[in-house]
Amino acid sequence: MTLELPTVCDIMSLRVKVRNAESGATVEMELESENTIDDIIEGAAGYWEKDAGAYVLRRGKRLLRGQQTVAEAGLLNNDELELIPDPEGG
Amino acid sequence: MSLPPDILKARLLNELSVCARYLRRPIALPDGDLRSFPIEIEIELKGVPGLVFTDDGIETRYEHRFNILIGRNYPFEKPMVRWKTPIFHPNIMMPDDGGHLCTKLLDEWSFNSTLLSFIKGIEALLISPNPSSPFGTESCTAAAAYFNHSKIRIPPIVYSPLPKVVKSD
Repeated sequence: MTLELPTVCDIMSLRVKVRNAESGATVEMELESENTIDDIIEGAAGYWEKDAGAYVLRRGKRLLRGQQTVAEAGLLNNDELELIPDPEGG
Repeated sequence: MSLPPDILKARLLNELSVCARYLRRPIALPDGDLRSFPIEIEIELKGVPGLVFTDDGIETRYEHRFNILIGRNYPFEKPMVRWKTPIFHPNIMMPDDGGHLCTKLLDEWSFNSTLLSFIKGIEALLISPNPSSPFGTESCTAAAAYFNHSKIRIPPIVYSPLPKVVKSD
């Protein structure tokens, strides 16, 4: 019998839930640590057929920055993120 | 363009109940039937850091209020929003100056926009102002200068833990 050990990729990947603030729908996404917040926005917006440029992602009440990686943003497995319309002022 | 009255009423009641759940407090309606427009509702944000200018300097407050005026043509037409509490923000006017908000959420309002996503966006706007495009009022331009020239950031959000049932009979 052979025991399958998880690969580095398996260890580094994490799963998050993204909620669409407009509809309440959710989607689960599997991320690698080098994925960026923009990647998540693009993936979720694409799934709901929205224009990724018109949305931002937040965790709790805090906005996540687009160029940050999953690791830099400190995302954890099973985190719930929210896709909200970009409120940009001005 | 406007929705049939019953559908508009159902949509508004649904949206407002979702907002009340999110804000964890009831939203008072001036007219329970939601048939006299415009409908004015007051939204109170709690636990969201926003700066205010006081005699002692710039402080952080965690409670803010604004009014939303919903017209008969909602959601085809965007609601009108007026800020009601003192604020030091480049994109939100002081109540005395009109309390107007300049945000993409209103500029790009669509049928799919909701009051809940608007409120969540306003929370984000408080935390992440855009000082490169302020209103021309004194407080907004001063806030823009403050955010442009200082490294000071809005303090972290304080979360109060939700009460938890530990034992029941």
